[in-house]
Amino acid sequence: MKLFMFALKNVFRSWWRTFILGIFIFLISLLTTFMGSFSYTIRNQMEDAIINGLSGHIQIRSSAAEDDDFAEHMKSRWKGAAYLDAEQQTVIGKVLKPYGNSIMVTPRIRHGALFISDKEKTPSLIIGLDTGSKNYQDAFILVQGRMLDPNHSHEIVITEALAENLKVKAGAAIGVLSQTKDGYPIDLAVTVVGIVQYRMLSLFAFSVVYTDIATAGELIGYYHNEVTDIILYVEDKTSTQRVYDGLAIDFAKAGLTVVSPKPEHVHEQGIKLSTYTSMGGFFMGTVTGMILVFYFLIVLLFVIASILITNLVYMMGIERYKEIGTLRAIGFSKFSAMQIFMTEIFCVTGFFGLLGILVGTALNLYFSIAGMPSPVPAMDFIMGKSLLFQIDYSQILLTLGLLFGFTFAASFIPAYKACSLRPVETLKEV
Amino acid sequence: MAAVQLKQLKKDYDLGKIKVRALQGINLAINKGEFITIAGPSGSGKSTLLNLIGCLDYPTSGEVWIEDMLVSSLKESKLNKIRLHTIGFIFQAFNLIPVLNVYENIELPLLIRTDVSAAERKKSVNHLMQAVGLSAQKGQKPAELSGGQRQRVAVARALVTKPEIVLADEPTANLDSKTGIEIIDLMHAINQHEATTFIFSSHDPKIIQRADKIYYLEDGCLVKEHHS
Repeated sequence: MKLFMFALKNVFRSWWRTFILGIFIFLISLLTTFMGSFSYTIRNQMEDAIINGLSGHIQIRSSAAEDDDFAEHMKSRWKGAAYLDAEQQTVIGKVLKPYGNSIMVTPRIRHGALFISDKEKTPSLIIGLDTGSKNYQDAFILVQGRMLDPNHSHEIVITEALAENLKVKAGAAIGVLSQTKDGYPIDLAVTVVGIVQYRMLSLFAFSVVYTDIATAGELIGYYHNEVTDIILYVEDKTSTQRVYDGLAIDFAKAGLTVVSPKPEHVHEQGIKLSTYTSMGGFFMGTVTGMILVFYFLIVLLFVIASILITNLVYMMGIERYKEIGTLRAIGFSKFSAMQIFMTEIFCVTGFFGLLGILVGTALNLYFSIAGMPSPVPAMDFIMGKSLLFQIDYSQILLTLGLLFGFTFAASFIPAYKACSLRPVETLKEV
Repeated sequence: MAAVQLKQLKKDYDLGKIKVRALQGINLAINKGEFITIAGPSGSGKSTLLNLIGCLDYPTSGEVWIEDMLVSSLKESKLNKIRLHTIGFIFQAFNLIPVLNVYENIELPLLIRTDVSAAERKKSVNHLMQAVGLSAQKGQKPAELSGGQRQRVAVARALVTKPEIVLADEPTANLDSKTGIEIIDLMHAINQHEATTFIFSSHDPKIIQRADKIYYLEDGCLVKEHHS
C-alpha cells in the first residue's frame, strides 16, 4: 500500500505528461466502450432484420431455389422460382411436430406483381403469410387503417412509401397484375386495409406488400398448397445452429435430402436448409466491414498510446536514473523498482481508462433511451430510423483488459531496461 | 570477527582503448563496530572501494568478504538481500526521494522488508527521527530542508534496517564545515551507541581526524594507516 502511495505521488511529478497520456487513454476507452455497444447494436439489428425479413432463424426452401430469387420477384419477373410442394410440406410438418412450441413455423409465398391504382402503377414484391404472424406485425408501426384480418382474403397492407407512389389511402381498392408460374396473366382486385411505417430493418418493411397466403397463392398460381419457403423462428437466436443441426439429421431420417446452400447443389432434389447467418451473408459482411474499420481506428489509437507509454517510461527511466540507483543501493530488487514505475503507469491508465468507460457507458445509456439517428441514412430501411443502443457490458471488461494489456506490454520493456542497470552505473549519474 | 575483509582486491575500468586500474590489490580487514575513514585525493579510488564493499559493483579480481561471507562472486539477487539487510548507504548528494517526506524517506527501505511489521516499522522510523533530531520535520519534503537536515534524513534511512555496516561516500562534501562535523559526530555517536561499523570516505582533514582509524589511499593503493 505504501509503495502504491509512493508510485501515486510520482504520478503528479510531471502532471502535464500524465495529463497528455491520460487524455489519450480516456479517448481510447471512451471510443472502445461506445463503439463496442454501437457495433453490438448494429450487428444485432442487422441479424434481427435478416431474421425478420429474409429467412427467419432457419429457412426451408426447395433445393432448386436460388439465393437471390427474392430480388427477381421484386422486379416483378417470374424466374421459375422453385417451391415446396404439398408432399414435401407434409414430411416437413411431421419432422417439426415434436419440436412443438419451441419453433414457430411460418409458410410464405413470395411473388412479384404490378400494383395499379386509379392514378399510378408500381411493381413490388408481395408476400403471403400467416396473417397472425407476430414477426410481421412487430416489423411495422400502423399509421392508417388496420393490419390483415385472418378471416378475410384479398386484403393488403402497404408501406407509406408505396402508398405515396400509388397515391392511395387505407380503404382504397386497387388492382394487382401478375403472372402465374405457368405463364398465364392474372389480375385481382384487392383492398388496401392498412398503411404502415417500417420500424426496423426488414424485408417485411422493404416497401413490400403483405397479404394472406391464399391471395398470394392465387397470384402465383399455386393451386395445390405449394409455398415458396417455410421460415422457422426458434426461441433464442443463439440456439439457431443447434436447432439447425438437429433438423438436418431429422429431415434426412425422414427421407428428405438436405442440401447445403452452395451453388453446386442447387439442382439436387430435396430441401435447402439455411440459417439467417448464411442467408444474410452480404448484409452481415457489410456490417462486419464497417465494424472492422471502426476497430482498426481503435487499434491505431491503442498503438499510438502504446508508443506514448513506452516513451514516457523511457523518459522516466532517464530522468530518475539516480533515483533508481538509490533504490537499488538500499536493497530494492530490479523487480521492486520496476513495480513502482509500472504502478505509476497503471494508476494513470486505471483512472483515465475508467473515466472514459464511465462517460462511454453514460453515452450508451443515453442512446439506449433516446436513440441515435441512423448513421447510414441509405440503410434506414434496414436499421430503422433511430438506433436504440443495446449495451454489451462484456465490452467494458474487454476494454479494461485491452487497456491494461497494452499498458503492460508498452511499459514493461523500458521499465525493465531502466531498472536492470547496475546500481553503480546509475549512481554515477548526477 | 572482521565485518569486512578485502583480499587482493583489484578493479579495472575500460575507457575505450585505455584500461584504468582504480584499485591495485587492496588487502584490508575492518572489525565490527569500528569507525573508520578512507582518505585520499580525488581519483584515488575511495568511491570504487566503497562501491565494492557495498556490493554495488563486482571487482576485476580479488575477494570481498562481509560478515564471513564471500560476496564478490554472488549473484545480483543475493547482493540485493545483503544490501537490504546488512549494509546502509549514505551518499554525498543525499539521494533522497523528492516526492516523499522525511518520515517516508526514512521508512522506504523497510517497505520491502517482509520480516518487519507495520508497527515495528513505525517504531523504528520514529526512534531514528528522534535520534537525528528531525521529529519536528516529519512531514517536510527534502526540498524544504537544509543540507544538514537532508543528510540527517539520509543517515536515518541508512540506519533504519539496523545494518551491520554503514558506508558513506563523502557524506560531508555538500555541507559547510560546521554542519559536516555535526553529521560526522552524529554518525560517531550512533557508532558508539549501536556498535554499527561505519566506513566513510573524505578528503577533508577536519573530518578525517574524527575517525578512529584512517586508511590513506593513493592511486588505488593503501599507502598509510593511522590510529587515533
